[in-house]
Amino acid sequence: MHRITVGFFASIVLTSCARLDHIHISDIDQSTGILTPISVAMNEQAIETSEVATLSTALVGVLLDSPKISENADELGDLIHLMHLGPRTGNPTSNDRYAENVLEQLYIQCPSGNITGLRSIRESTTYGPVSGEIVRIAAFCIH
Amino acid sequence: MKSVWQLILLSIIGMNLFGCMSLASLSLTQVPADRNNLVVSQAHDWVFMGIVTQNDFADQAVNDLQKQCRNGKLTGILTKYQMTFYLLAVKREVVASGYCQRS
Repeated sequence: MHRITVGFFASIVLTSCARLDHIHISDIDQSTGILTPISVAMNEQAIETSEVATLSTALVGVLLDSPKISENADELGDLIHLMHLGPRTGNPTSNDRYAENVLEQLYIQCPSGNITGLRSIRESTTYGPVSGEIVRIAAFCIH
Repeated sequence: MKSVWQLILLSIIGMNLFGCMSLASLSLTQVPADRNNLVVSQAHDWVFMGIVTQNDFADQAVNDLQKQCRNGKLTGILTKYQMTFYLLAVKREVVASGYCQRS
């Protein structure tokens, strides 16, 4: 029974899903030269704390064979969820400046600085309660 | 009893046919004075039961726009990212349009 439960939780955590929140395509100039694709992705790990609380409490309840603890798992998750109410995109991260040097990274890939067709993409990859919150900038370098 | 099952089946089919839409994001770049040559592209993918592993479908919209304006300049680009929800599936769609200017 315990093996099945642990396997179930492990499968939830190991299955990854992608999410697309926002995409913006800017002007594309194909008239001044040959375009080479460039891309920069900044990733920050994040945790859905309410989901972690629910899962871990339920798991402790199963391992200790205590239905009472398992029953309280959802309530604890709801309580933590209420503490993080408000508009947001993706899971909360501990660092809100992880995407700040994206322009420098683009210039490394395109030293001439002649960049066109910028695409700003906000996306994430989730592994159960853990997620990678990604800011991706794709563009074309004009040669 | 048979009619109840038929009603449930019809309800499921009906829910699948009529999708609810959600506009997730929208953006617009500087619109040019010359707006004669509008080009439009669209890219989408289907997500079944919430399982999706990539967002690469959006790149197709950019590629299509580029093909429609070879050696030109695309400005006034309107980008829409929208979703249509069906019973077990979601259609994710990126629609992009812009004005092609060739000198």
